[in-house]
Amino acid sequence: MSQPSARLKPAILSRVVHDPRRRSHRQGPDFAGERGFRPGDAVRSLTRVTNDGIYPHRDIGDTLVDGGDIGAVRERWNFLGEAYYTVEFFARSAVVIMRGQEMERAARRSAIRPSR
Amino acid sequence: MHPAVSNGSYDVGRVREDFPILGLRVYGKPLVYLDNAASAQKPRAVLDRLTQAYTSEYSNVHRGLHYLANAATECYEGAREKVAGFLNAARSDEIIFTRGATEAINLVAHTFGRERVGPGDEIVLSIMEHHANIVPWHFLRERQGAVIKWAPVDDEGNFLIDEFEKLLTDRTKMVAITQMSNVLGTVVPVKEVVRIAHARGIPVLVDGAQSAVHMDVDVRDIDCDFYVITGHKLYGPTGIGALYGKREHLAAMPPFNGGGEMIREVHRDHVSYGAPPHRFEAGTPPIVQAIGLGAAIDYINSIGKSRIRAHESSLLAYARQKLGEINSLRIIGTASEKGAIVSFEMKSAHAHDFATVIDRAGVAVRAGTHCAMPLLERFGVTATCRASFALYNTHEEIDILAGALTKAQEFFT
Repeated sequence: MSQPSARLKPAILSRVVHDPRRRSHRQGPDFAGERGFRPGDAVRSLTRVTNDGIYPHRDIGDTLVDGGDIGAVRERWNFLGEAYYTVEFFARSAVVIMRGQEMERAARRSAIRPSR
Repeated sequence: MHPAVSNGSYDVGRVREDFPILGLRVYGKPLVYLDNAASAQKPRAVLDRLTQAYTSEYSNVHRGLHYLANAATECYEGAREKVAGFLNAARSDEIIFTRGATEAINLVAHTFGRERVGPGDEIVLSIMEHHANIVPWHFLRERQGAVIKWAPVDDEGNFLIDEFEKLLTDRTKMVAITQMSNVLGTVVPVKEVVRIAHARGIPVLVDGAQSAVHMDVDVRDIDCDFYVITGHKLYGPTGIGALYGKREHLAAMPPFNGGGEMIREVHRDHVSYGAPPHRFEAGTPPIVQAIGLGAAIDYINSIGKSRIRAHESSLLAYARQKLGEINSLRIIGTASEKGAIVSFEMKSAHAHDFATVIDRAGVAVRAGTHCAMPLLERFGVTATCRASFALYNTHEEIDILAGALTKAQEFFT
């Protein structure tokens, strides 16, 4: 497992959804901008991430990712003009979707750029 | 802010409480309403607003000298302000109330279009258009001798903007294009379309009937000449829609329908017309419907489109996962940019048969051509089933849809 290359601020990583099959989407032209992530980038959650209500079959408030959990970016994709990342957290066998702007904002705040 | 999102979460159960019809049972089963691309259900806030308008604010609008006329006028024009804000129009007089998106497009075709388009002139549409954005231009083909050209999509349903650009010529007088396909969910990069068309002096109408409920719309940023919406897909009433038009276009356009409200003076030998927007609103307008549309916009804004989008993105991802597990099901339309619409066909039976069978499980989907025959012809199918999602749908409903389709498949094989 590679070392985490970016820190996420979990308080704003609240958009999550289980989506293990979504792997084939094209990457947008703005993929992996200055603060963007690429597939394979390792990330580490700073604190706990809970279900905000759109992770299926789990109650609102359920813990999905704990602080310190290591994940890997699987892909970046767009939905109606907004970017999302699919991130796999290995220890939890959880695949979550996170809002791109929240991921990228977290990276900016942590002042650590994702590695390539 | 709506209580369903006030603590940073998206409590879809709380959202659903706003929609009385979602508590309905059909054939003894809970209603699973997945026909939102055809028409969305109405929240109590809209229903209550309609009742309030009829019970305590109703009269005909404009020029009234009594209390209720003024109250109704204030509410009606207030709704226009809300629509202008929703689309980020520069001025509320750029908003024309219509019966729906269809009438709005007809208005443009019969006024702006007819004045610009002559024999041999070209109108460029996309192959994804709803009939509402095809037939009015066919009228110009039939009556004015115009030529319609079709911008293509690839096999996944992606809009091919380079191919679109190749269609534009010196004879192109109009581009009319959807922002989101009602069949595939494909999102068209309309801002880029407008940029390309405007570089050649070609005006653009954008059909936002399907997209406006899901996407942030900024007509000034898109820079389109016209943009149309319909109320009933926006959780608002039927019988109301709106046309946004740039002020300079509206000011130069002749009237569409004739009658009261739209005139300045009428004499035995001549008539003069009022200024926009009233020039295009002949007769008693859909007063209460407009007020209801305003309430629907307030409702959407109270939740926030960004949160709605995040929820709908999860629904689309989950639907693709669950439906992808059904062997005989083929999803039509997998564009890289698409909304929460899944069209599909099943190998063992016609789309109508599947829709009828799963209806008995309480699942409401649409089947047929979805008023987009040229598109279905492009994909070589005569009909599809379509599940389309809204802010109140749940992952459990997608489970029910997938289960009902699997059972139906067993029935047909």
